[in-house]
Amino acid sequence: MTGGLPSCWDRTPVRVFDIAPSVNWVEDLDYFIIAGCAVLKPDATNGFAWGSEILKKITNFKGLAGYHGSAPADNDKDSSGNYIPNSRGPAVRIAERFTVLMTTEQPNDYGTAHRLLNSWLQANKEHSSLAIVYNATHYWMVQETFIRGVYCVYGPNAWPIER
Amino acid sequence: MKRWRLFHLVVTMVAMPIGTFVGMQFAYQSVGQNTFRKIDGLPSGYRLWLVTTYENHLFVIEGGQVDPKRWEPQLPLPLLFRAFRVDPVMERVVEEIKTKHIFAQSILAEREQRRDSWLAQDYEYWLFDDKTNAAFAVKPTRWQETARAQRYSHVEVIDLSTRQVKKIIGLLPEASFGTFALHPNKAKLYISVWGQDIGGLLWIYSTTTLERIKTIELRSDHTIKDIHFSKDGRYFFGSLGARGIAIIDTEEDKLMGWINPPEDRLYTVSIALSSDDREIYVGLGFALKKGGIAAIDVEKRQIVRTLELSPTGCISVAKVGEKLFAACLDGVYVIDISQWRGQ
Repeated sequence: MTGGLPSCWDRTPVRVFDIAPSVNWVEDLDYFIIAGCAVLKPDATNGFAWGSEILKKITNFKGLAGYHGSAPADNDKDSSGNYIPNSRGPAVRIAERFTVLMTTEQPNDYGTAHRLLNSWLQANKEHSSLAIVYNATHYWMVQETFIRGVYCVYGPNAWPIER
Repeated sequence: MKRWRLFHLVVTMVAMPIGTFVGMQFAYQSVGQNTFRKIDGLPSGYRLWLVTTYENHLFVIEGGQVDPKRWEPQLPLPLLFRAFRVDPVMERVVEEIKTKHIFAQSILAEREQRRDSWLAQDYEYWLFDDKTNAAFAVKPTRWQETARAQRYSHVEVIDLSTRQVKKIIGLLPEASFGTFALHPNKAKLYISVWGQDIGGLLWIYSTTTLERIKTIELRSDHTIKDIHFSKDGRYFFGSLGARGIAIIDTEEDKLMGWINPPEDRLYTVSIALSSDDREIYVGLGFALKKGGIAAIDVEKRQIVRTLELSPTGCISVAKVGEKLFAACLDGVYVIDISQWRGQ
């Protein structure tokens, strides 16, 4: 996985440099969620590239959220293992939970200083998904612990620093 | 309940000299009248309990404490664990120990003189293949440094005669380790891995040539982390935890079934099989809460019963005889399987 591809499944070779958000994004954005596989993996060609382009260059941009590993699927599988179109897969459930944490229920405070980033971390941690968030100076990741199936939020880690 | 326990202790003591097998089978019948009970003698509070069994030995491991206000594990998690040996017949703690291991097989090897005791120093988990006189073993690459996910860079194939590594099956950077298991006929080794670009995969190796003979794509962001085979070896049951359970036909090595978690919560990772291979048991929870156990009908590929055990999540299960042990955050529960199935 290189170049911050928006999706690791279709392997379309679009990189952050092709999108050039600091030039092309004229909307008044505070946060951006890229829910594609490993797009925000914390290294120079993925997460840090997106972070440098967005968080360092766009004024008032507050945070970036996505995944540092495989992203959850939109759909569930049937009993034969095939995807069911328009079903409530893990990505949909995460989005629903994220919405609740953004509106009616207060998320846990992981020290990001942003409700949106905390909500993204918690919603994904609860669904065992490898989320990552960045603010202007640090990043936080959901990782599985040595207890299989138990996930924690680790951070803050300063960026950009190669792991 | 105490009278029942005393009765079974006496029965067990009488039955054991006649034959261990008969004695143990008899002893694993119901201790009390309730379908489930709680193990005596474990510390209170909310903890990341794990249950692990090997050869009818049962250990309960404390993987750290949980903050009940936030429902988050308290970091850092320990590197050395407090563990409890539990008598599965009497359903109570008989010994408290400290260990760096989280598998019963490894704890026993560490503490007793066994044929695999020499592996316990360096390896976390291993499988014996008596057919080729080899062991397949993994060691965490960062055992001493972090209590995050135990990462393994490779599987070592060890010649048991010389105790020398004869081959290394590399994982990183291509993929990271999920778990592994030998087919009951010892002809194939199944290694589940997680590739960052492609998600869960199952690699299948010939134990004779030690070459990879097939790869099954799981088409999931998770990989298999617990494996059980049906007694005849025909079916492979692989738990992907939150994403479900995969059933694989081992004759063709083909994905043939999938069982999703219920709507209101998720499966946890470890699974157990009923003695007749007709049911799979798995822990339930969501955000370390809403704990229970689900019984899945293998043929129907769906949940047929749930047992609500605890307001806290149940993060692992293990089976000894006809008892199912379920570790939830508030303690370890014992379920009489036959009684539960009969309800």
